Amino acid sequence: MKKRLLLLIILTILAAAYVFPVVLTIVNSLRYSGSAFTLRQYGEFFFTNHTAMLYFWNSALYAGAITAVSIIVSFPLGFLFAKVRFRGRDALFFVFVVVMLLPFQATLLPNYIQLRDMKLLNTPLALMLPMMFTPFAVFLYRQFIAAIPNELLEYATLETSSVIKLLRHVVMPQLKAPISALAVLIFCESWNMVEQAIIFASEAPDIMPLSVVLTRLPEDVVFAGATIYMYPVLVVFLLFRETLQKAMEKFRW
Amino acid sequence: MRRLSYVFAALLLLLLILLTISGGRIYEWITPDVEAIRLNRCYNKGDERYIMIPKSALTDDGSVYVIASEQGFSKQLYYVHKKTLNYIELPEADGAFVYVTTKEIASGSMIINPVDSEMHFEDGEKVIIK
Amino acid sequence: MNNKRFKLKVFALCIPGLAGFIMFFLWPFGKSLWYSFIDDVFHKNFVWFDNYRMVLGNRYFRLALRNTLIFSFVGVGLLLIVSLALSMGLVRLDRRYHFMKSAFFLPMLLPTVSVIFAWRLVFDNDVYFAWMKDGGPLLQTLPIYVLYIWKNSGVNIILLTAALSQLPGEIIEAAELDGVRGLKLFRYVTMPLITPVMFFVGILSFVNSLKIFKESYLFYGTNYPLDAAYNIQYYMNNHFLKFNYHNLACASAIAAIILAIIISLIYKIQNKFTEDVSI
Repeated sequence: MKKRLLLLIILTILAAAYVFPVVLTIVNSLRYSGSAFTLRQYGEFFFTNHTAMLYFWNSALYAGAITAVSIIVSFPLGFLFAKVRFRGRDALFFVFVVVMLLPFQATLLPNYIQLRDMKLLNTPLALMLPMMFTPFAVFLYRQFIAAIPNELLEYATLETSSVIKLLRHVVMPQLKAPISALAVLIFCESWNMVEQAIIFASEAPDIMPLSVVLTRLPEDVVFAGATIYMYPVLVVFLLFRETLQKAMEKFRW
Repeated sequence: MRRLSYVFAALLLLLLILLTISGGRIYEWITPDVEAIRLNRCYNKGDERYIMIPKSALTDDGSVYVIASEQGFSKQLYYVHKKTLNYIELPEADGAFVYVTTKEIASGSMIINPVDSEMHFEDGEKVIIK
Repeated sequence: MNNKRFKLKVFALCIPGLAGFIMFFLWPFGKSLWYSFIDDVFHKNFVWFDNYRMVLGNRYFRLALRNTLIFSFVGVGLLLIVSLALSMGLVRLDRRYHFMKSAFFLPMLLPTVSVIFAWRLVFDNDVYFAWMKDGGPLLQTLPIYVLYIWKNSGVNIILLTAALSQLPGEIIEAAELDGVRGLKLFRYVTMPLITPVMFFVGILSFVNSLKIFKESYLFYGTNYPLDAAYNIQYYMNNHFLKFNYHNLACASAIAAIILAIIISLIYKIQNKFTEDVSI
């Protein structure tokens, strides 16, 4: 029994250590030049630097649009790769996987060239479009759809020949948890967007997400800004914690 | 419990929206307005160069509030700083001005004028110039 | 189900996604590949592998590549050890404490910008400054390793705990009855059973080690960090900012090729290990 207790204590300490940076940020957001526990920093953030919040909503727009579009657009693709046989399917999927695994810098130039040729640089679309078509969503969809038994789909095709009906009424109900998990992951990743904004919108500071602007705030409000920026992620985390965990545990590669 | 969390999250979001919309206006509301002048008038007497400060800009204990400005994140910010002066009065001005050497205060500085007797500012407090 | 009409209908639905992928990834990647083979946007002369030779011979490219590889290997190794240790501890806990897994997963979701200030505070002490001055490259880049492990343990832990808790209990009990315990138990019974998961976790960790650029960039706050922290992403980023598109295109191509090779190798090795090919 004692071993269990020791294990519990150690793990609790480690878990606290992992959460510590969040706590530190929040605590520091409540201090202002020496005095602990004051809301002054938030006051400075919202009032003196009131234009900072505008960038918050930029981030919200990007994250929301990217999440919504990628979830919708990648769904059929995931189904295609999971259940529809065609020539070159595995090769094409391999390409998807490689592109997904590349760090942003490798696809930086291709994206930049394309956006420039489409004259979309320095517009909000430049920050949204590449991430809307991320192969990551397709990958996750495919893995989860592949786990759906084929007989279920065969049986459904006997009932209806409409693909849309099939996807909507047969496949999607099975994917409730994975879709939520995917939405959370994509939301958090697009909320975290930094390099794309610096590069694709370098001459349009007004459309920057708050993540980029945060480092340019005056030093004394930085922690309040960081906390505010963290807040949607924390909310999403608290609400979808178990869904996310369960979906990941069921994940088969 | 889950329902409550959703409501709480929505309320916070609403709060953020409200603060975004009214942030600037609230700043103007909570920050005191003052009138200010620039000290441009000089007076040369002999070898010394004096800045002329209107007497209305002096507080009861003989100091002025200097305004420093800085480019903040959203707008131009103004800070006040109380400065005690060694001034002299010269008969030429017949009581309307005091004279301060340029060592005390630089020419072209902004100060609050006039100073009401109720004005009490802390060092570094922000103001808005009318 | 797999008749022609059905397939065509599905394909029709996929057009937006495919179009986007091709438009923003495949086609421009081809174009950038073309860029890597020409000398100038204006002259468009084919110079074959001259650019590649220049890039590979560049001292900074080699430094960046070396740093990236070192970080990936050492980082992944450390991360795997930490994740495995934490997972093995977590599975032995009572069920009601399993919610603690979430604490380890939170860092993955947090926006880097938000936490980077707190982390800078953590490293704003004299011990670290001393290390920065004359520690070796590993100590100098310690913050990045810490950030990497902190951020990426979560997903590994979830996958590993799931795998560990699904281990067939009978095998372990049989082994324990035979007198195998502790380290031997781990080495000869547990490890082989979780090898497939470890593989996947390894790939995932490797891929995430390439994404550490964001943390590194925000932590050091500059385009030119310490020599030991100069990764290939810094190289690419800087060349982009200097409009050296050709070097960048070469570096991207090299990165893609290396990654493709590694991934296909891992796929092959993994197929040998796992019996049911669920791919």
